[in-house]
Amino acid sequence: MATRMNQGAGDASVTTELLTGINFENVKNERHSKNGYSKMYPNGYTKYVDGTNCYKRGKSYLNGHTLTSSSDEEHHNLKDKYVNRTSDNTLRKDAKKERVFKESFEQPSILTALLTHLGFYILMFLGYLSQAFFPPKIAQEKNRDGYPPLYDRFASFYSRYVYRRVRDCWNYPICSVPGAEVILKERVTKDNGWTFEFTGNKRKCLNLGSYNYLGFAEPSGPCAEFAIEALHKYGVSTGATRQQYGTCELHVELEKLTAEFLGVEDAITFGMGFATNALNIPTLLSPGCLVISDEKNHASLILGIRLSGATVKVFHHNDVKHLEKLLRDQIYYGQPNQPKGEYKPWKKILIVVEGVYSMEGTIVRLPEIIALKKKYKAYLYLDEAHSIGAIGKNGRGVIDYFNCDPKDVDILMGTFTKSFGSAGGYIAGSKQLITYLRQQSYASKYACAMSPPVAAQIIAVLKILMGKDGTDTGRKRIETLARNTRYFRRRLAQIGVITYGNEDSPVVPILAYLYSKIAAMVRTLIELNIATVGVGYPATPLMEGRIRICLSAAHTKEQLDYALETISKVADEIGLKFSRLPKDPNPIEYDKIELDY
Amino acid sequence: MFDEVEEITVVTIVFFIVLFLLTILFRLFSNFENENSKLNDIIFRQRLRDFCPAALLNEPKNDLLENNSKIETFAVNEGDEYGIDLAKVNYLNMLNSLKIKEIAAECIYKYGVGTCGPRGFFGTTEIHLELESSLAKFLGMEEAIIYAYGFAAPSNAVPAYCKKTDVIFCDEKINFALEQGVLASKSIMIYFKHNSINDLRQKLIEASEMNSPLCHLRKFLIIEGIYCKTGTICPLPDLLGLVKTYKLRIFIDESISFGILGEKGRGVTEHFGIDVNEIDLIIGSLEGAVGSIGSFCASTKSIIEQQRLSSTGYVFSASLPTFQVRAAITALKMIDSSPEDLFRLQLLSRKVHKFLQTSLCYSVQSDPISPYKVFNFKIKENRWQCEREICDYCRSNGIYLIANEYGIIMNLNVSLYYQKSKLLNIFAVLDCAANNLVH
Repeated sequence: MATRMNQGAGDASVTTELLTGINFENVKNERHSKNGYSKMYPNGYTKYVDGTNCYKRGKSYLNGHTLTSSSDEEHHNLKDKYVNRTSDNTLRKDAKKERVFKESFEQPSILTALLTHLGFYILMFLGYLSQAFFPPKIAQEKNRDGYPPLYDRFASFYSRYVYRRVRDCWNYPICSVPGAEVILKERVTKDNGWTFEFTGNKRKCLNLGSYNYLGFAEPSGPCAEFAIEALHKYGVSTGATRQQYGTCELHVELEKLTAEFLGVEDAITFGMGFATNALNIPTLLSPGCLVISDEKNHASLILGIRLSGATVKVFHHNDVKHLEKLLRDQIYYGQPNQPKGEYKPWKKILIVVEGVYSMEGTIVRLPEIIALKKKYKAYLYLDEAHSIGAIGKNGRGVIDYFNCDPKDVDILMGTFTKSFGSAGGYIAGSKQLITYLRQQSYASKYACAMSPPVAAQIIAVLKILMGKDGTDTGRKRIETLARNTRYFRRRLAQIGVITYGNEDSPVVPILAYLYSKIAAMVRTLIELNIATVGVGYPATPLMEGRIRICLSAAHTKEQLDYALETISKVADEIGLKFSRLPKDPNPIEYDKIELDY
Repeated sequence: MFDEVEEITVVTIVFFIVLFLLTILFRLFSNFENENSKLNDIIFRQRLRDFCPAALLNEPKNDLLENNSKIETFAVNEGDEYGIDLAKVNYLNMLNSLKIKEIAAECIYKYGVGTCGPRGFFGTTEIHLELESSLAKFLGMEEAIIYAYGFAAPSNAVPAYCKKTDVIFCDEKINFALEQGVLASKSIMIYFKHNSINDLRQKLIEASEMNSPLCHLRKFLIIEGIYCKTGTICPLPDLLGLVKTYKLRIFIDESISFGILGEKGRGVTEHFGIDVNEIDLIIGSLEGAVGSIGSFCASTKSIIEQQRLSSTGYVFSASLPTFQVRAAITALKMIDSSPEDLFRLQLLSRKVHKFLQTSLCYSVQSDPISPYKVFNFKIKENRWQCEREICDYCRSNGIYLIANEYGIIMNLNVSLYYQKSKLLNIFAVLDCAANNLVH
């Protein structure tokens, strides 16, 4: 059983070692010998206790260790001083509760891996054959004789002869609100994916594809009413930038509420989530700064970092050990290309991570990253695009989930597109940071302010989530989503498909590996009235093609059961039951699922 | 026969042995390197202790908090009868249209507010498709693609085509969003003087010389229809001459000019009577004359297809909320059905231009027919401060203008055409503000 989590459990103790100065081996030994600190679950999950508790355990060991093995006086003092500092400032405060971190990355058999590669090469080979025999119809441009082609050969080959075969699985037009159910506009292709025609039929599907985590994508109800009211009062747009007469009362109210919701001093909002990252990161960084970025970070973060001109180092996805190694190396070596023998430290180091990774379904190891950030004096940028609203007891994202202090994260970013059923993004943090952004951010200088109805929808949702509307609808939605997530993921594990990610993440990737299987799965599921999303190369590594399911609080148990039955049936037909882990024989009861808040 | 087989076998075996040895050597070498690169613990701790990162905010300003109230300014209350909002981009008065508001509200009743997904993942509604086809039809091009923010199209379309090994010739006054796009593409940038054909020709000749390293690279020309920084119109016919001679790909950003230039609002191409198919890519904004949110690109099918696959701001961003799409469709129809409004707007623009030109205290940069006016206070010293004061004075008299680093900016609204008294009021207040400063 090769799970990535096995290494992951080790990571925790490594971090502990670095935090406290204890020998890593000692902790490891204790872990195995004394009381089975790390437990393997039958479904392949590993029980893992977060770094804060490891620290507590380690502390009793600390005295013994320092007395016996440290011979160097100066070294000893330094270590001691450091230990005291961390214990006073950072960790104890956070160590309120134990959170069990269950995450799984089961690897497929070698046969599947081989077949996946083979399948891809066959697809490419057929593509080349097809290109040789049937040259593309639209390759010739008018008015542009003698020009070099506008795009490179491989990209146009790939899109025309490989992607085109499965093109029908994406960009499906809908003609309803993307709620628990969605109405697809049926289309057919008569020329193998070059063009599509609408049949005029509509197909009502269970929506497992939209990021409607809390089910606030609704065409009626208090949120939509408030948005319409704002539309009549303020219009579609305020037509100006925030700095130049584009601000309206709704923006101010929204920012106040967002800051209150997140428990920080202030917040600033922008009209587009993608632009929030792409336009604000450059205002914070300059050449000579170092960014340490997770390899699975979203395109907008990568664009923002690229525009800033800072140096980037990438760490393995959610791998705290690798992150620490990078941090150590970078502090040790400083900026490269210095005259010989000179040492120039980085101006500042910014760690950029996401809360919930939208393709992997993983939850960031926030407590450990916060500890590392403090130890190595780095800054932390947390993108909560998929986690805000979706996880945590109060829907306040990963910070809420881990019971961390929001002040430990320097820049809290998030979007309102997903859980809030709206659009736009925010950045929250200290008063000083937000004031700086209001003044300096490209987005508030040059880009249009957020549309008033969009802001109104978010305000209405925030009020519901905070219970300010006088009901407990918000709390119920958050609980339903958490329950749906655990139920769905556990049932999927029973079915025997390989899923990735944390058991509390509402993003559930089901691994399909083969390119053709992704397409077959998406198509069959749409035939059976379930709308899902397939993701393959180049959006994921070649070996990790997948179907992605996004759960919602709007889904009922009956809908989930239908989806699970159908997925099980289709997975049998197509052959997706790759999992070789032992399965939980007991039936999973929806109402009895414990939510450990 | 057997000899051959033997030979092949021997060669294969030798090959594998060599490969094996190489692997071992490589391993050893990398181990050796690791040994060397092991951190010296004492130095590391010292460096960590001495590491004193710069503040998170790039230029810490002490007066940040004090200036808080001045950073943002509130939208002008529409109900205010005496207020004249020249800060808002609302050339054709679409933002105040009751019809658009009603249609957009209906759309919320059907589709909700947000789309909860990127275009590829059930974020495409039939209305998005309708807007794309009506934009393409409006411009007379094959296909259009919409983005969820005014900023997104210029900054994402450019890197979708231009790569590291390309050369981009761009006007030195291109707007900020385009600048970001050019930066993100990492191409070789060559700026030419604002609207200067001769300078561009000079640079093109230099780049096309046989011994120039840029000779065989793909070349792009990026310009704006009406420049955001100056309000001038690009000399498109002359530029097109160069485009043909030097085989440039030409991208025009019509963020401002779309919907206001030309008889029917088709933009700068119609203004000069040029066939749109001469242009490789038209980038436009829905936040200008259209009065919604978002932006778009229009071109041939194959060129747009490329963007749908490789433009990050399109693929990885949530789609434009449906009610904004609906508002844009309605506005496009209204532009199409009332070309007289465009005519009035151009007349109004000329009138204002004439006033600014004849005024003793102002020098105007923008084109006469552009409703986006950029003008400066004539007195050179401390110009920026003076312009601020002029704007403040105008605001206290109910006229809202924008002052930025390029000058004073005024966005005309077609409704002023009918309100002669308001227009005269603007002129009077502007004169008065300048006179106050002079004396």
